[in-house]
Amino acid sequence: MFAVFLLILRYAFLFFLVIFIIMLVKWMVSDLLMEKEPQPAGQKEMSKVDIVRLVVINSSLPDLNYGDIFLIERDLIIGRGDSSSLVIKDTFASNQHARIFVRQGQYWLEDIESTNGTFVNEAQVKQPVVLADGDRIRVGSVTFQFVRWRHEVG
Amino acid sequence: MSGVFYAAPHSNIKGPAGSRTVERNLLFLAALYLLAGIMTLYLGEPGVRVVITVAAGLTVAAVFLLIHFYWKVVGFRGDHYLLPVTAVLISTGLVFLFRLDPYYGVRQFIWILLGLGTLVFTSRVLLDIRFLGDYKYIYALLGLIALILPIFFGKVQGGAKSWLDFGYFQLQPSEFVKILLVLFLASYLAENRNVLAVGTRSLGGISLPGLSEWAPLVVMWGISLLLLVFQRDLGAALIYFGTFLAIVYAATARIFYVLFGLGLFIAGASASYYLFDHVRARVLIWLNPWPYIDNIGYQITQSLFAIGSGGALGVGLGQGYPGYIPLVHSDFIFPAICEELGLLGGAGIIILFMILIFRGVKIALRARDEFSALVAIGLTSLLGLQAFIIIAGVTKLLPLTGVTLPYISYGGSSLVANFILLGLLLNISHEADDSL
Repeated sequence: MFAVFLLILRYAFLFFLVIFIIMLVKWMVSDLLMEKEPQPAGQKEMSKVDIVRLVVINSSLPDLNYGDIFLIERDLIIGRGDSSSLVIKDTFASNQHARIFVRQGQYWLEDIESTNGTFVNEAQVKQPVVLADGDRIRVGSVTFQFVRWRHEVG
Repeated sequence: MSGVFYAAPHSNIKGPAGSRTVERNLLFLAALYLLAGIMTLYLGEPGVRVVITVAAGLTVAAVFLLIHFYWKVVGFRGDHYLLPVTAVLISTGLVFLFRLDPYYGVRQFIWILLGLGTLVFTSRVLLDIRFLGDYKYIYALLGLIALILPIFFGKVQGGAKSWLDFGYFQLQPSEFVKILLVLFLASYLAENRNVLAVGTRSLGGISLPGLSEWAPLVVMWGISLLLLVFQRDLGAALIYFGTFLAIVYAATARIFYVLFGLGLFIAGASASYYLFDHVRARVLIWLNPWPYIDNIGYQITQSLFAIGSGGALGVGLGQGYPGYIPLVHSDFIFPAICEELGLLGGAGIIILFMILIFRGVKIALRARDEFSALVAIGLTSLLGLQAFIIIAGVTKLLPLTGVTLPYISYGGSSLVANFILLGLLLNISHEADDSL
């Protein structure tokens, strides 16, 4: 009798391992399926605690000073022309110089065939690059710092 | 230009995941698993029954649940699957160590408690890991010191001179240097990612960054490899190098670096084959261990016998003969698991490691910033490579290099270091943006 009990217990050990893995996978799959459901519109706005901005850290232009802040709320075009959403009156900047856009929560910088180029951390941007907190973006003589942080709410 | 601040409470993951219910349920299952194993050992033992086995099992199961309740109370939002998966791996290790030799079981039990303490400490103190990114050269320096110390004061164990002896216990600094290496590389690459990815000059159609950008990386890598050659710890060197390539690839998305690294690796591997006897011996017994079954091939052939005799469901816990395998409590614990739990149990352990890697990559993809993402990828590669290298080694898929099986093998340094690793991954997932 005791031997039978011990045999059952012995295989219970293996059984629980298998059950654990099955439950783990089941719950992980249902988690994944839940993630795919689109969030309601209102909820999306509520969860937005991202603060993304460009801070001027170097500029030779009179109307752009150190510490000026530009919030990035949607796609943004940097350039000399008035059609740009962030205007830099720099002779080295093209009319439409560079573009910042959001894809799946990542902020991308793209050079729009500017004459003098756009630089991230002093490397020329040849294809769209993902911006990370602290990256320095230079257009002509103006340098911005890309700042992205989560606003903690107490 | 000062603007609108979005001040809204952070919405947590909805549904069952939000309240850590999944973690709790899985931890209960893990506790049942541990208790079934412990009771089998306790009741199956002929003669004197070791009560401490049951006490250790109950304590470990209780401490895991306590950590869960603590995190629930303080509102920790870390990943829900990492702790239960680790609990099952830890339980497997504890049960098998008590089964193989209660001496190691008791010591492992103490190390598990220390490791869990470290995990809670990490999840509190290093909650926002981004400040860690500021001290990269300190990591490089600390790592170097920790690697150099055993060369002068070290103790040779299993062919590798990588242990510091403190009397009551021994410390293997290279286990902790792995984490420092990941922090250094992640911090360095987060800063120089663009330059390395785009390159500033061109060589034969491949654009390369300037020497000043990648020289620190290569120097760091070269020094750690040289030291490991002196310490003769090949397994660790392989893990370091693999992790290095994984982080560089994750940061730059350039296959060129991986190919270049593989080339370096092949060159290094061939060189060490001709230079070192112990490397040649490992390759020899990997190609065909049977002629050397009485001497250098004994360990691996015993391992293969053990795995083979397990069959599909195993011979049952406590029924096998794992005592024939040398070092079965540390590097060679996987064949013992395969013998007694069979193909099902062995595959189960591999699946659990794969799930850990899956969660790790997921955490990296959702990470807030570049540094956290690279740390997550680095730590995940570290864990995955280590598990792969030793499982592949004992099943003779790859030449054997001695490393421990994370969370399962006996080994204090390895256990504590892996709990720090787990804590860092959990912290990154705590910070991650759920809406992405």
